[in-house]
Amino acid sequence: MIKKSVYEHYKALKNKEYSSLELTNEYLKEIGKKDEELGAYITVTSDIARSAAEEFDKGKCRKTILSGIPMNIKDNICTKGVKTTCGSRMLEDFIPPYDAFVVEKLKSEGAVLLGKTNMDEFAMGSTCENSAFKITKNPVDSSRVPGGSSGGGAAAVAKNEAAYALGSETGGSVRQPASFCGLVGMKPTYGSVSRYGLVAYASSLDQIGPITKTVADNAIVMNAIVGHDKRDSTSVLRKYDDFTVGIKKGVKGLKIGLPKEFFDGAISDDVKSAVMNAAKEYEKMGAELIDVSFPSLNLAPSTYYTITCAEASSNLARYDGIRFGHRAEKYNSIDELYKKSRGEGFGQEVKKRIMAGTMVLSAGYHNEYYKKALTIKSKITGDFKKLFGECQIILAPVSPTVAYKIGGEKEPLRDYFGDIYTVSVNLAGVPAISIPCGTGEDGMPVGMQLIGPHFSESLLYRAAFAYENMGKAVDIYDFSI
Amino acid sequence: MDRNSRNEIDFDSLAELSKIEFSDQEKLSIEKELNDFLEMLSRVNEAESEITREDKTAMKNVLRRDVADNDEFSSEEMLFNAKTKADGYITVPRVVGE
Repeated sequence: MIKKSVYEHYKALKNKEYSSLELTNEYLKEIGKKDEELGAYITVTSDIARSAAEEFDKGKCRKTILSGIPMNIKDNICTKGVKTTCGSRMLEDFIPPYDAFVVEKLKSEGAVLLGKTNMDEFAMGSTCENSAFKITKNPVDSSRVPGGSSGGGAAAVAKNEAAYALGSETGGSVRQPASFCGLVGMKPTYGSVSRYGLVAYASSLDQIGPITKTVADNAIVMNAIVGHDKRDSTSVLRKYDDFTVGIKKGVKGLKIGLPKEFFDGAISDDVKSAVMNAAKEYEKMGAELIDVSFPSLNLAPSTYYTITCAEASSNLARYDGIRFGHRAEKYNSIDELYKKSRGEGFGQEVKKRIMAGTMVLSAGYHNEYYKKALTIKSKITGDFKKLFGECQIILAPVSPTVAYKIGGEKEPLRDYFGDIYTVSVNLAGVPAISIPCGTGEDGMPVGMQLIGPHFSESLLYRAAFAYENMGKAVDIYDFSI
Repeated sequence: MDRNSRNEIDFDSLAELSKIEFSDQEKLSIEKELNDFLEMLSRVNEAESEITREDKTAMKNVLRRDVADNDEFSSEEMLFNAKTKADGYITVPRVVGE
């Protein structure tokens, strides 16, 4: 039963084929059996999960599609009373006194929390190798990475250790692990999912998004977590769509842009041909393919890392060993307490990015780096706006290659340029969905992404659903409660 | 600033500004990586675009009024994660009168 999608669980729970407790116990059993090898979870919350499942079975919670279905949450999203480490020694014993907005929302739907998942420390990385606690393995090939930074959540869903996961993105951290693990991942429009309770990395880009087995599941989870929240000053007040409405409409007449820069350069042949084949399938379904250009693509990584490091150096200043987080044992002054606590608590990648951020914000470098990066960010946003005058959505690869080997021979800066296809989406604040589109080298999953204008998630789900369900009967889906 | 002529960074002063202590060994391993990384960031200077009026006005202030309206948490909850505390306060090393 644990192989089922969220939607299938919903139907089975409704028809009383099994109880939520039975389902929860099956997932917990699977975690017990497999997770030592897979390394997806940092904390498993068996008691919390069982008691939420029992509440559902007794009919004590609201009934929605997600009620009674077990899931996991990335360890940078605050859960009241449950350790939230951010994959860092710095927050190894941090227990938040409150739930993040998205956790409140899921709890109110009667979701069952199985645990908190592994990630690159403070979401800085794209392989899960930067976690202070463990290395998560790729669910298809254990010698490879699951992607990151939301790699734990993705690996767990792919290996049937949860029905769905909540991850977070600053530059591709939902879409890329979804792509590496053969799953569906959504990066919503900036401002549509509250960041209240998401531990900040680069606040102007951070956004929470679902990782699921199917497109319909993803739309269902997005429906639950989207919405305005006054505790996040960048949360957008508007009427949000029901993302399952119109999902079956197909893509006839849809104008899909293929930006040539995304298919040139460092992309590997297997990824390129898988994505191009998907484009041809769209054409067969009646969509119109249009060649377009995205000239700023090569500037995206340096712009992205300048902005994120600057914001990180400021956001991570709060970890000083005083109010929460790791505190060094020996110190002679307050200054030494700060420096030792931060020196011991942060891992190498985090320290490097704080140092880089400190530099780009410092006098003498501020204009050349940070201000220049903000200018390019506006240009990238403008480039997307122009593109969406020529086409309705963009089809592109998620990552230039399939999942990398763990600890493999690294070309310098590989991890940074590996983000080239994802980061521009975050810089522009537009939504994008990653969906599987076949396999590449050694049978590893390949993902493609559909990118749309701000608040076009419904259209992205519709286009993704059409591809995923090509030639299948979609009438089985009935989302009315 | 030409990226090829960018001066090597002053590691120690950046570490001081960042309030991070590094062991000598750690410094050795991170310094080269940091230089490569900063080299990558300096590519923003390859962009020809200049800051336009439009870019400067793209952001708007979203700060709330500076009024404490949070009665959601008790002081016990707020202090729960602090390593040392006394009488409802966080304790730290002496900072004045040393």
